[in-house]
Amino acid sequence: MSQPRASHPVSLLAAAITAIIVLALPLVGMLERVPWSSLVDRLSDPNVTEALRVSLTVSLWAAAACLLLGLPLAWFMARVEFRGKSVVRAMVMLPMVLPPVVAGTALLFALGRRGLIGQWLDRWFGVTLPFSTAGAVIAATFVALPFFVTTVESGLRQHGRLLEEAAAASGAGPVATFVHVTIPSVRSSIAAGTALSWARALGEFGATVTFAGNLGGRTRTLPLATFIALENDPGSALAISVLLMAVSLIVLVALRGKWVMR
Amino acid sequence: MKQLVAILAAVAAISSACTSGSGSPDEVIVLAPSSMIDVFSNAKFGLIGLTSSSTLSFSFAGSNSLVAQLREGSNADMVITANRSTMDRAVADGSVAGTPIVIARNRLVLAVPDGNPGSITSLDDLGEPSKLIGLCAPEVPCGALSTLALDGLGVVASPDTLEPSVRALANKIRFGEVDAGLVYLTDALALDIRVIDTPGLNQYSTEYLVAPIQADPKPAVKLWIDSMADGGSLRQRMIEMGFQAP
Repeated sequence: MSQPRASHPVSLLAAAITAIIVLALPLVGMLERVPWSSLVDRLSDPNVTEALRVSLTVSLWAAAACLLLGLPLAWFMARVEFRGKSVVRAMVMLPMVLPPVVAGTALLFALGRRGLIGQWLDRWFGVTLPFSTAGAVIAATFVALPFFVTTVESGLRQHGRLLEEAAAASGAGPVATFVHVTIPSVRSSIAAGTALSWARALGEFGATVTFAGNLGGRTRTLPLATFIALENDPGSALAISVLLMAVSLIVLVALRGKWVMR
Repeated sequence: MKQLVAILAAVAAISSACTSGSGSPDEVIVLAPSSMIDVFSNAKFGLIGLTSSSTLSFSFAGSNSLVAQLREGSNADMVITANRSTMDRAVADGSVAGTPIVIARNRLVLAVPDGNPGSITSLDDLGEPSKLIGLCAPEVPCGALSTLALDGLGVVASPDTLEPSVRALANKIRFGEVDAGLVYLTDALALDIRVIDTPGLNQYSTEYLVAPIQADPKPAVKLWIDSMADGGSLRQRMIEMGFQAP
């Protein structure tokens, strides 16, 4: 056994290994129960492929919405100073700690048929968001957005400010600076934030089932299908979970390798 | 290395503390279906015939989850399920001891939000595509009963959501997010939701069954099961909440 280097304290290594065990043990326990021999059959079940389709649609739209809404917000939080900023920051982070079921209920109170804004959407435009795919996208975006904003905001704090000043000094307008200087300088943060928010959206359950309900082909995503299958077909629930894990692992590993670890 | 051993010992101590659960003879752990939360959450336990030295702990979940918890090894003392098929599964798994006893019934009702925004008048409205309809998912007991009832009454429903629990559905009706749905009478009463009278539905009800988990149950468990079976004050309380006598 080689002598541990001074930079690797044993106690820290032990604690880190304990943490890995805490994270990996449930997965190992699950993989051990997965019905591998019938995996393909279970995953090619029309209910599962339908849920996969809904999941991909919802999570990709949610990731796009996070990018579209989150980029300006991250820039705002990183570059604009104003009073009460800590309150705004706390609000941006809130969906991360809010139990998703509560988030879903809050969305109902805001955008439901009798909600603060929802009642007018219903009355004026005949738009009802609950029980629609759009509603599922909104629920997923709500819980995923903070992951994008915090990632990109910290990227913006580290990079780009000097370049932005240089661009401004050489006469570039603020919008041109943002598009041609700011965004390229935090490319890797944007990729990481998009991946994180997409992964969070893909796994989203509580807010979705509470706000958007559960209907095959419309709002039943893979996590919802898993939860319902757990009721009386745990084998299929495990199979779907494996699919969910595989999809997100592949995407996260690919993204991390490509953009984040430059 | 010493530190590593200390950490692993601490981890081992924590994990053994987690598995040793209820050893106290006076603590009774009851696994009960979500639809019985209101029965037990405010119950005066003296009313059930338990001495004050006994501690009652309830763990509420859907009946399917309760049966799964038992199968994976739960330290509970007794289990109540919201239909017979879930209890049958617990019996088949060998998770419970003795013959389960029916303690109550619960029936389905057609429930609508305040003001009946969808102008629902009968079960046939559940098939109206223009109305927002919620039902329980067929995988959970209330959904299984709804499917049975709608099939039996020849109603083809067009649901917009299949909720994973009856209380989730009842809340969506209460908040006016759906125009109508089938819930248990107990949920409608508990949440003060309006019920549309539909005579055909009355014949469809689900049975609540109780069974001890250990072959030699604690005295408090026997007392409990007897008091639920012979219908004393607990039965009276359940009937007030909308359950029917077995």
